[in-house]
Amino acid sequence: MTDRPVAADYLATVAARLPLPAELRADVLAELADHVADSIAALEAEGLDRDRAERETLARLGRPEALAQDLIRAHQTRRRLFAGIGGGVYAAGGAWITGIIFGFSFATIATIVALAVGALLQSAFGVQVALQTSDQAVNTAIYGVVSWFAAFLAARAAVRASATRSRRPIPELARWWALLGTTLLALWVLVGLTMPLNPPAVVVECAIPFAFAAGALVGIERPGPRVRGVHVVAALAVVLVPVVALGAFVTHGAPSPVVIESGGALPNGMPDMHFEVVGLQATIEAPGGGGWWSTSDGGIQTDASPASAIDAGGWRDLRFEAWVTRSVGTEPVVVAVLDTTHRSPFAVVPAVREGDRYLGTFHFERYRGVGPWMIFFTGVAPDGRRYRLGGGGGGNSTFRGTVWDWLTAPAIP
Amino acid sequence: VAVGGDEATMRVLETLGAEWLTGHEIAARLRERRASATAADVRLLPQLHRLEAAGILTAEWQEVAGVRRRRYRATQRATGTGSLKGSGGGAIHD
Repeated sequence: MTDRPVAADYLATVAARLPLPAELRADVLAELADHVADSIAALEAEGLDRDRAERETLARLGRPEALAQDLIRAHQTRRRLFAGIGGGVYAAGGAWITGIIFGFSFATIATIVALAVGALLQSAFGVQVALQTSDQAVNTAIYGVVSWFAAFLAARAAVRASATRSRRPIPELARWWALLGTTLLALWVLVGLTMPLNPPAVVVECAIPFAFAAGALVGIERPGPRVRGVHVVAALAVVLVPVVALGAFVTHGAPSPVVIESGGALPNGMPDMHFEVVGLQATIEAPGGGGWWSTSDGGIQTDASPASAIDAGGWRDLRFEAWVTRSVGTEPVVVAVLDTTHRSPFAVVPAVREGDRYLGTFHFERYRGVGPWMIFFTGVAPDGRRYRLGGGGGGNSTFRGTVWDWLTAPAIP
Repeated sequence: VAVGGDEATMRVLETLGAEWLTGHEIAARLRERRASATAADVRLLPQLHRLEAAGILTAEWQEVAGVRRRRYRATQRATGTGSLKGSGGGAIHD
């Protein structure tokens, strides 16, 4: 830099109007300062006094504002902007994949550690920990957390790559990436990403766009940590030694850590199924069927037959009802019984005759908060009361859809 | 920026040739040729940066006699297109 106050003011004015990436900006300003110093020295050598040499030099460079504008235009071309956008998208894609791999590795290690800790607690203290679940939304939550890593790394990579290629300052680009990336990810999560969902999974999914925004904005100008070989070895030792030790413990046959609450029992020792909540059992011979199967569009279909025998009994308003159940008993004997806190079915579909059977199709995956259920076939008798004609087949479903589907879906009462 | 596309570019290339020169040295040579004091410096640095971005010039920080300066030189692209022949300020074909 120059020791001349007027030249220093000139350079400061240019510097204040030069929004370029820090390293490039420093280079440009250093070159300009050298140019000014060399020019002043040359003019002095030609016989000008110092003040005149300085004034002449600055006059040759023109107004500092115009010079700064020209320098910006020279670097921030439209071609470089497109290169920055393309490079940013490419870098984000690569970083997303890296984040997914890193996230799943982390999740796998965390799962192994959790299993090992659960087995250790059970073995040492007799504490049983429920680590098994049939709720597929747990996998969505895990995938969502993994996506946090991916979104965070993708945003950082995108901002830095586009800043380098477009020669625009990181803060300026970070704001745009945060705005556009967060908006696109929010749209994707809201209406594009179809997954099994429960409340925690919805929260985790909704946080993905925020992870991207954080990646673009938080500490983006700070250089990343320098990772050396010794760090990698130390990290592996810290993580892997206990994991391997605990994992080895798990493989020595820890019993299944499932705890089920005990339910009420009938005098014969069988748990009370509470089917009376649905309705009285019809006295006619129970129709066949009652099983269920999945349809190609994710529904659950059930049937009752023979339809001719049902019709002969004068039944009307035939329908299939789905009720919430809960599990009672202790492993290995666990029985699903009706959850008597629910006094009505959560879903009802009319029974449609097809040949000599009645069919009904449920879409439990469209009910918010759905879990274990049981299906009954019911009808209204000539006495005007609704009876249980059959059924009792049960299963377990998880809501499946986008976050928007979740927000607008009917909830289990 | 097209090689030979404008007069200012041609003058810079003619001045540079295959030599490594600083912005100040280029400006001094341009002034010698054109006898115009101010025109040579105004917008010269942005012009050099633009030509570098276009691959017509290459630039490096070099230390010569203990002084570190950013220096420019015409690339093969500039000298091989027929716009500039020779080096060190050779003939220009418009």
